Amino acid sequence: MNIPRQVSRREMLSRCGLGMGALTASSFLGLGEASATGSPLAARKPHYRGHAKRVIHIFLNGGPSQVDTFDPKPTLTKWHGKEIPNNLRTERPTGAAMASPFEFQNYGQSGLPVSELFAKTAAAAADDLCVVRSMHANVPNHEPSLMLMNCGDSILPRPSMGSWISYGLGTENENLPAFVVLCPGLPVKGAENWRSAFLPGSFQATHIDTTGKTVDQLIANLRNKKIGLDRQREQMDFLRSLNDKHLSQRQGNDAAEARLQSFELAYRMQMEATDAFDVQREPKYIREMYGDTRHGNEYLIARRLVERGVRFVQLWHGKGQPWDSHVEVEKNHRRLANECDQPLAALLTDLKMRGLLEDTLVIIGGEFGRTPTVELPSGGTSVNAKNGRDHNHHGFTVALAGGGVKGGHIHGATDEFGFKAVQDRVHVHDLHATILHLLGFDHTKLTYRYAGRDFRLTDVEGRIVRDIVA
Amino acid sequence: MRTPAPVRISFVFSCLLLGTTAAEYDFELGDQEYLFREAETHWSFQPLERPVPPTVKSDWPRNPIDRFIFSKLQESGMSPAKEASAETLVRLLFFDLIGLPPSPAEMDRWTKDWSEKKYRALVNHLLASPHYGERWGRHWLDVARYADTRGWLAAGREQRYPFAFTYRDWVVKALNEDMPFDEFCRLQIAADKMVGDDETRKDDLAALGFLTAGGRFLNRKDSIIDDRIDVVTRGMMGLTVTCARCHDHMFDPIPTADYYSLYGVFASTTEPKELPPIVDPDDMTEEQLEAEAKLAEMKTELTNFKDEVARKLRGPEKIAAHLEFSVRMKSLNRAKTISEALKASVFLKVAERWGRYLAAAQKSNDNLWSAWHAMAPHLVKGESGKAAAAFKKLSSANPAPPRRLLDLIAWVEPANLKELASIYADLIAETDATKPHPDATTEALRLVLNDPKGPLANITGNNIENFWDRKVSGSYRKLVIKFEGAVVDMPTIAPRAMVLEDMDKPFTPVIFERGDPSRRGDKVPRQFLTVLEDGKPEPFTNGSGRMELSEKITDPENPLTARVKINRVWMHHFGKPLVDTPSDFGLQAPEPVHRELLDWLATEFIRRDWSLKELHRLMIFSSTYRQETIGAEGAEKDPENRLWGRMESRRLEYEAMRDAVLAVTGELDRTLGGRPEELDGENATLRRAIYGHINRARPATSMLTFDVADPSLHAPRRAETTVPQQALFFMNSPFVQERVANLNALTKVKNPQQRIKKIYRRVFSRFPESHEIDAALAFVGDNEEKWEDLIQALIASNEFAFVD
Repeated sequence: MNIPRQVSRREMLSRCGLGMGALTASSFLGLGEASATGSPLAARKPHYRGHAKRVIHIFLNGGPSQVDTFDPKPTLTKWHGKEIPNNLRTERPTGAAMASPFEFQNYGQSGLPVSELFAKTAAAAADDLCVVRSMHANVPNHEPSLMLMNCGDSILPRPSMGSWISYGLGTENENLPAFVVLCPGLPVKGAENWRSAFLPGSFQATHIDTTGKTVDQLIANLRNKKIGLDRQREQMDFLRSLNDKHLSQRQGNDAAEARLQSFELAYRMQMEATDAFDVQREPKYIREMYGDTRHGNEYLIARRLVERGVRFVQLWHGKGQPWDSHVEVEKNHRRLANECDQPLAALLTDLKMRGLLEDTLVIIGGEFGRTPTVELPSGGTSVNAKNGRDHNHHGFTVALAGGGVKGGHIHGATDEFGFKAVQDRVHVHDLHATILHLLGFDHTKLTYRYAGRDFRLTDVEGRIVRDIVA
Repeated sequence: MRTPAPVRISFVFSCLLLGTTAAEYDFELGDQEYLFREAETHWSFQPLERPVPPTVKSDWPRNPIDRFIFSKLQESGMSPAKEASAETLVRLLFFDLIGLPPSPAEMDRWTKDWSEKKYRALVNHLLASPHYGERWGRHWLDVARYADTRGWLAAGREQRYPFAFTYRDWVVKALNEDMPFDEFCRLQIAADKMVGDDETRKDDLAALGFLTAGGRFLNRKDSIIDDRIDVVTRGMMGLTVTCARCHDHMFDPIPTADYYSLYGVFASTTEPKELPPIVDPDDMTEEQLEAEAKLAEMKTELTNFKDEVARKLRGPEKIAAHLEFSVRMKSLNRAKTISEALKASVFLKVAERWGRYLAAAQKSNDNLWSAWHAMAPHLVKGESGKAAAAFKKLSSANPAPPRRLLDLIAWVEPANLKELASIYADLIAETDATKPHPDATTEALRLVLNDPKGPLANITGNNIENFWDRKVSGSYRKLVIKFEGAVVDMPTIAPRAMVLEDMDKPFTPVIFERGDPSRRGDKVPRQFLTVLEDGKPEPFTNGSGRMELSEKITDPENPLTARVKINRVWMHHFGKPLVDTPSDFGLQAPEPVHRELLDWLATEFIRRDWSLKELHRLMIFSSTYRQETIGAEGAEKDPENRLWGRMESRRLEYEAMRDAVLAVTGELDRTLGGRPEELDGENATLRRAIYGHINRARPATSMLTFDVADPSLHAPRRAETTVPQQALFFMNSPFVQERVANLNALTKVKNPQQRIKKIYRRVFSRFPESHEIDAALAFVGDNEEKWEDLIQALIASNEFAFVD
């Protein structure tokens, strides 16, 4: 698909004496049908009818261990304490096999095996989960792997998946950002994980620092304590006229245009966000279902956001890289899963109850997995401890639910130890291609022209994993 | 030609390299031999040669920069943009050079009779302003990953650096004085060596904050050193040396050995406990002297605490407790020993000393302790009867225990170990004296504490920290935290430099394999990077080698330093850099379109003694700089503006934006330097944003919202995002609302047209056009309250936020 360059379009407009407002989003992006509002974030139709309309990405940052969650390995238990034949290289040296300290159990009609760490999630939604056990990435390091999982490239600054999807579909509620990131503080690589790179700035995520507890704390300056909304609307209209005039005298100033748009969004956000982020408006039993914890509130906010038409919600487990259990994987994974199992179970249940799960794709996973072997003591974090697991990009698990994926389904397999994906391997690019497919996009055609060529989320890679599509 | 090797990336790959052009590599990653060969021809490693500016047939060029620019434009069939208006240029120059908008009067003064002469005069005027150093100092502080705190530390520890601001102020001052950039760099690495005993240069010691004001990474030494290597190498030379911490660099000719050579330099330095004041005691103000006195008092409090703890060990209670515990601990395992000692308020190391002392006394059959040794083993088991029986036999022992002791024990009849210990403890404490005593028993008792082999020998307030337990050290830490906090909160205390100094014995580094300090590899000398030394680096011999390192970096033959600096300065003047990766000039950085221009500027920079102000003039006096942001051919032909056929439109960064809001409302406090102040909240400072307190672990929300670089790491370039939270700041923040109210009060005149003119002049440094007056009048109507809405809208507008 050839998308007309913004600049020439704007020049055309200035020649015609029209402002930006007269343009429809579809002509702006060369996508889908015309919208009434003319905003780059207006809802658009994808290439074909997709199963999923929106995405919740639960990012277990730091790298959860597959053999302790969704990929049971009896062989590993047999080899516990012994050197295994295929000890692959990861970030740090690892030694003998380390059996999972967690019990696995089969759940649902599908009999999906899940460890005790996600017992509540499995009990609530095993038959909705589609477990891709054969994921693999490029390198065993956080930063490049975060970039690959979020932006489709380990090295180059590229737009994030959420930005691409917002660009492709716009938002169903323009009074909220199309792409919201919930994270208390910042994860490793900070805002680079959700940047829009060369896509227009309006497709970048709005980061909500969930450290704050009240709505006012979540988004700073959300309320004007001096003037009412009506008067502010008039002020915004006046500001708009100033900015339109300013823009009409300039050529191709994307930054100025994005800034102009941001005031409209901010104005509407005042009302809508107050509502969307206020979990106290939920009945007590719902809040209790999620658990009245920070994590519970975040998952509940995620549901409230997608319910209100936010296109892509990315929910980070915590700042930094909480799942990075180089030591004491048992203790740490138990603590971490304990924080999110109930909220996740509640989210899936809640989405189902509301009929939202069928067109909401839930993605659960980290930037990579962990080794089935024990990390050997070295300097820094793992002094003298032999109870942790190193990073592992050779094989890891990502679980999906809703949005048109097969429920109670397992795709692919790692080797007998759970180290490397060996059967029906799925690269991160393939996962991206499949996610776009579920949303109704041909990943090779969702492109943006920049610096002389058409770019896409999957670059020159990506293969749709048909087996997981219902 | 080399045969492409398969990509091998399945091992350690911890450095994210931005700006690479290909995701696939036709060499084996980390193959240093190959990378060194590549470096031989890579543009940035080539010696600086002075290209001849092309000859062009046009009267557009004003200086050689323009000839390079014009020539490339011409090759592409393009021509430069028109020259921007006087008003545009005046506003641009003000923001670019001092980060503040021109006042209406300044706008009038400078645009009147606009000419080349006037333009140059304005540039010189602004370069002479003390605000120049604040503006350009802030750019350097991004490179220096400057913050006022140590970063995340264990609970309770004081995170704030009391004196980081002296480094910030030094940077501002050095730039204002146009200190040659090479010296500027050298001082930041080795000021202690350069200043020496020269009292007149004392304030240059503050330059070392470049190294010391970084994060403390939970006080992990290796991480602190890594951060220092990074800020020096990426910051000054655009080389990602720290990628070679765990393995040879994947993409650049930097073997791990080179990393550890530099590691050795920084590991051979130490930070003194007492930071030197940069003010002479003779020159201190009364307030400063008072603060110094108070500081001394607090320090005495700390010393007293330690002395007191040491003194108490010689008192009867502590002697008894330690005596008792030295016996009890024999039957306890290690963990239990530690916890029981803590419970008994006994210092384990001291109890062990008592234990060893008693064992020696037993061995030598010391009659002072024979009663102890006879009774204690029974008493510790609660068998006082057996102890009494053993005691009875003692009177016939040879040598007999001192009479006084025997009588005392007989009279007390100790029922438990504690009572026996107390008898001894009282006697020992009573006789504690420095002078020998004529009475033999008294003298024997006196010697327990005063013999050089005694259990408390050489334990004083100075070294008590090595002995005490975590309960006492916790109390002491609380005092220290209080002290550290007081130093930060005592604004009158004389400013001090965050210095470093060489250790007496420099450290010879070894390679840590895979970055792991427990896996020690080969020894390497402290020396400079191999690739910049024609493969033959000479070991450093002057102490840690910091002086030599700084000289290598600023050697005019160093191909990187000047190029990297030119690129950074260009980026700030022209809105984007010539080389897209300002902190990575390694093999992955493609040769820039305007390499010759870059090289010419670099040689010119060195030729003009590394003068930054000269460099600014060179760039700003060019025709290239004076172009409009709208190109002659539109943006079609060169959407990326790689050929500079127009200027880049720029949004004010956080600091300039905040300063500008305060400036137009007339509230800006232009005081220079000093301790940091809060940027947000009720006590938000009215000073320039560079004086805002930067918390490394948790920067002010407004800073984060407006893309201020994360101060945890050196930042090559700030991101520029547009998010609704930025808009909300202009719409709803109390900060903006207060500014608006003040400007409203300042511009309130009867005549509404006049009022609008005043407001426009203040906010945009220009008069409104008549249709703008009409629109504003229509907006306000007859509602007096809406004047504030109007002013707020103007401040929130793109015209205010962008410079173009």
